[in-house]
Amino acid sequence: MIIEPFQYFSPQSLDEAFEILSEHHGEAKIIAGGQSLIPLMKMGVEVPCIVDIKKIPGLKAIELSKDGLGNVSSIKVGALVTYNDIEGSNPVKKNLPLLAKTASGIGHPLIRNRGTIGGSLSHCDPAADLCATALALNARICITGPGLKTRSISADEFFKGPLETDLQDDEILTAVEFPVSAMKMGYDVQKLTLGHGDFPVFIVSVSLHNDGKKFTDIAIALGGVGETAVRAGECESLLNGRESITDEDILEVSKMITEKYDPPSSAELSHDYTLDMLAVYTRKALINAVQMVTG
Amino acid sequence: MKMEAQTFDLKFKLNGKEVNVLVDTRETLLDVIRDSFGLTGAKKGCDEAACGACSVLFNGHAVCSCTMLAAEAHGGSIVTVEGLSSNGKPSFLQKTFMENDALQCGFCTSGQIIAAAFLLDNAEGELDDHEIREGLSGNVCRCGAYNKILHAVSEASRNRAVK
Amino acid sequence: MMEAVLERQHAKSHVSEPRIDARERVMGLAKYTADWHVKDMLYARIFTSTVPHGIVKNIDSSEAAKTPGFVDMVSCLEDSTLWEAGEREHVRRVFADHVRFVGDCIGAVTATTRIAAKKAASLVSVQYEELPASFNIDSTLGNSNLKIWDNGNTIGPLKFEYGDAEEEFRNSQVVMERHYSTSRLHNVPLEPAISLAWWDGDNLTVVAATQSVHGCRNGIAKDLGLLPEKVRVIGYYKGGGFGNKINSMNYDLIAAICSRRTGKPVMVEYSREDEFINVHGRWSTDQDLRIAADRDGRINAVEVKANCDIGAYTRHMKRGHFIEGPEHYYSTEAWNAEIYGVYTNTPATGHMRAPPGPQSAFSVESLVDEMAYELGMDPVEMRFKNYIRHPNSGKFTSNGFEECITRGAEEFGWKQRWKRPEKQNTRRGLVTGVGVAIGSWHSGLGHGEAIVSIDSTGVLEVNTGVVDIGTGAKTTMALIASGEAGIPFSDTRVIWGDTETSPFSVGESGSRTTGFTGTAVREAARQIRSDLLSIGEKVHGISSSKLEIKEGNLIHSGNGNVISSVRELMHASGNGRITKSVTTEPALKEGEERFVFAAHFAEVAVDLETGEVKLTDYLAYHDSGEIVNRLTAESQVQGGIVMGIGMALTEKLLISKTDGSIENPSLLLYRIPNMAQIPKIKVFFTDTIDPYGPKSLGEIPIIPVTAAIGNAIFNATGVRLRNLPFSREELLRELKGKK
Repeated sequence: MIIEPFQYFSPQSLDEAFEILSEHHGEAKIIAGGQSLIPLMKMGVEVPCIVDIKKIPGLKAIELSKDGLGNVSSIKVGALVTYNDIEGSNPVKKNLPLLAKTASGIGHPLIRNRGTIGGSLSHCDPAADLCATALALNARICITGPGLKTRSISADEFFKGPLETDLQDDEILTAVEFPVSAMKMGYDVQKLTLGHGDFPVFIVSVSLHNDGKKFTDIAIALGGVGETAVRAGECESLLNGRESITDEDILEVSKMITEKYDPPSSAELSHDYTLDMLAVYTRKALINAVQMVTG
Repeated sequence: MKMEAQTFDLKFKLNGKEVNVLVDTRETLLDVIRDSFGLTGAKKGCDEAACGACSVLFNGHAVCSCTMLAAEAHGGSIVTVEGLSSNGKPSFLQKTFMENDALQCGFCTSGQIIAAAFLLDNAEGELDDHEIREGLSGNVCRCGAYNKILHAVSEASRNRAVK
Repeated sequence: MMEAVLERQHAKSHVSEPRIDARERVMGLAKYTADWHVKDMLYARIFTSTVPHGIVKNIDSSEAAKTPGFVDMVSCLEDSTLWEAGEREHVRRVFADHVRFVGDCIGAVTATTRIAAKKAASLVSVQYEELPASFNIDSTLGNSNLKIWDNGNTIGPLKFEYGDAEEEFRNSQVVMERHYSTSRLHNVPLEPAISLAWWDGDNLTVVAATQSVHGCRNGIAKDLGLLPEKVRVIGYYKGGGFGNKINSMNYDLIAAICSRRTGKPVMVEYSREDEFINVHGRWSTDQDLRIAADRDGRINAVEVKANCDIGAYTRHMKRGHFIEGPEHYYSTEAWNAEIYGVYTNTPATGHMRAPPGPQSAFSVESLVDEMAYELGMDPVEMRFKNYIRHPNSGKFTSNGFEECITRGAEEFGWKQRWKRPEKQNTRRGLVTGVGVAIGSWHSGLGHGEAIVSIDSTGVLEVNTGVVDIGTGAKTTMALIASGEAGIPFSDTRVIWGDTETSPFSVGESGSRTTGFTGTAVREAARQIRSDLLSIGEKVHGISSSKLEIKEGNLIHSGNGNVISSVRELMHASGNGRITKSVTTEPALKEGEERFVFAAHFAEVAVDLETGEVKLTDYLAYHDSGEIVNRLTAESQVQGGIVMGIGMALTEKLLISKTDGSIENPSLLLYRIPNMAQIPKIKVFFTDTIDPYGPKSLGEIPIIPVTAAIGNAIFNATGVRLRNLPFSREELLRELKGKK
């Protein structure tokens, strides 16, 4: 039950939204799917003004860009696209299977029907599924501000801290753009949860390419191990450019991850166990990803 | 008091009928369909999107109506469990729930049926057990009718696939 | 009357009928308490203690009263109503002035909306004089300054013994000693606590979420100093209870008190968090067990010493019986149990499906399994060798235990699937294993009332005070009447759930409905049939001994011909409605004991890298005597098993070490099983016929579950887990330790 009163606005256009945001500067919160915001408000977090952006046209599209040869070069996912839409989108499944897989593993269907990519990334929980995968896939965050001024920054620059992003009070995240490669691709996402459908304790999202000769574009993104989701750059370098990746290599990387990153302990799982699992799930994710391109 | 209660003039389609009601912005969709419209099939089991008893179809998608502001439904279409039957006759899916004993106390049943209806509407072909288990994993049943719910949804899915 | 019950036909029932109220429940038409909306209704919200132990010194409601919509506040400072059913050993008040846990109810605020009530309740400020507090068994037992209750902080010891245990431990060839523990749990009915009350002069009406309308009425009347006939309790549909909506609840009394003060109907709604904190769950146990056996597998003696954390209040109605049950699983020479209930400054505990059953079965059935492996015996053989044939003295009214164990093992394919645990050479991947556990539970008989009538159109009406919290009781009562009277189920109607219209029933607790109320229904329906036969004799001039009533028709038993329909018969007789109002008091004969039995078989898959356990197969074989309705009986068994799976793998109330509060009062953090975690559960029933009719069913299914799963984990991995819920972390640690 939400106790504190608040104003609710449902702008029909971005312009109107910016007007409201500037009028209620610093007091307004944007609602997309509301699957994080509404529980927070029920817990007593006071939000004097809610701006519901779901009536603004153009934020629900999944748009494909193609290169000169007609191949898909990037996919732009509108801020209001739900996890369920992502999971069910054929272009996403074909070109960004890691994104589809990640979305299909979030919570349960009732959440996936409501939660949006824009909401998840701008909420910026360090362990959120999509934050890690956005990093793994080198996503760029498309932002519009007053006067319809647009900018786009990498997911890496966008995530600033727990529940903190580069998004300014008067800006709206409008889309997330993912580059698409034509190369043979391997990927996997693995997470530790306390129960089926639970929010991750940590998550490992892996993507890699293989041009037939060597492994490139190794991306190992981790969520829940620090202030924001992060890329395990040094571990990636260890594998990038290799002609083959052996189980031993993967074991080494998994071990390295646990030396560099520190997942939290909880009332139910000790720090030692969680750290062990970080190695185990990283290994599982890497093995599955490598097998996809070699197997 | 920092702020007075704010109201919102809500219009939406409820089980096929256009409706209109003035709501407090703090009210959830669940509270409004239960209190203002007397449609009490959807239940409040947890009020935190963790049980699914409040499931309704919003623009064709099963959602937790407890974790949606009523105002967010403005201009949309809501179908509750009461809207699945016609002329007092249970739908085929509701009948499979009855015949398979896919319920015990019945408190989660409306939510199970709504989530199952969404699953069936969006299925490509016949649903396998794994798809049903995952598809209904947001709807908990403390009485533990899961095996029977699985049978009921499976039977409904087979029936659709045949058609 | 008893003769009538005993002489009836014991044809095996293959009845399998959907619930009589299934249509209402699937169409969203069933009206639960929260679905009631009465004119001018107000909402009440409780406010509770923020300290674990103390005396309330002052309550300031000035801020709360400023909330728009505020109507009234009541607290322990002005209302000292007792809640007798709230604590077994001591006096408990509805509004505590001496608070004993974080969350103990101090008072309630009434307002025009539920938002206003919550807001106002959050603004009430309470001052306390704090007292020393304890949050676990050890600190209660070790703290002499602690006074949770004036006359001692423990209940017990409860001793149960027969034979000479010490002698057996001295003389047996193998003795094992192990420690087991189980966690605090919560019933988590999906419908949180709720009550709606209003007064009409001196008459009180309560729409309650109770498991027993009559028990609720009697409790409310007693606590409020009213005559029972002045209180009407209505309870048509309930969203589960599993023991935590037993009789009168404090929220029923709060609704009545707030309504009396405001002169308006008042609904008290608990949030899910309130439900976790303010409504009791299952107590935890710390158990030290010893078992003595001979090399041939004979169990000679079992010793159980246990301390149980029963919270600040115990609502368990059987004094001290915090560990109970396994003394009726096996025939041993000796049994020795010594059990204490230990109070702590944590939320109340009490009934939850077979209150002491699964905790007790977990330790004993794990230990028997440990002994089987120690002796190199097949665990099923071990059970078969020792299962209870006869009680210590006297005899069982019926005993299908052997069939449960042997047929269960066959149906499960135990012989093919069970392997001795091998040393695990692999470190990764999945390993599977199987486990067995058995159990028994009492099956009482007692006071039952029913009114059964047949009207001039041949419709049979069954009126009992059951509430049907999900057990299928309404359907069961209708089926018993329909079968006994010879009227089709489709022509049978039920009246239930209202103390004003229905005769007394014990309600749904203690697996008693069918044995208690069902016996009265059967007798009343038998009398209806007998009257119909007499009418048949009168109308058709055929001796009633040559007549039968079947499927709504009067039949000539000689040639099987239909003489007339019951409707025509009623019409021809010129009679209006025939009504039989019956009270039955079936009782066991001297030396008789009446029990139900079960054997459960589980298969698990364990991920050797993470320690995660997944249940992959489950089979339950039960003797509950004659099964009235196979469909709903199977549902109840599956339901108990699902709850047992939660107890084994995920459920645990986390109690704060610093203030004893519940750290996870949320369905996001207290994890009950969802559909993705539940395997196919096969259910079988024995053909056992008990002379007193159908035996109990609702509680026993949860009893063997945790041990069956734990035993399967051992079979898969060689690791024995002795603490519930099973921890993947502990399992992994043990697995690593073994290498």
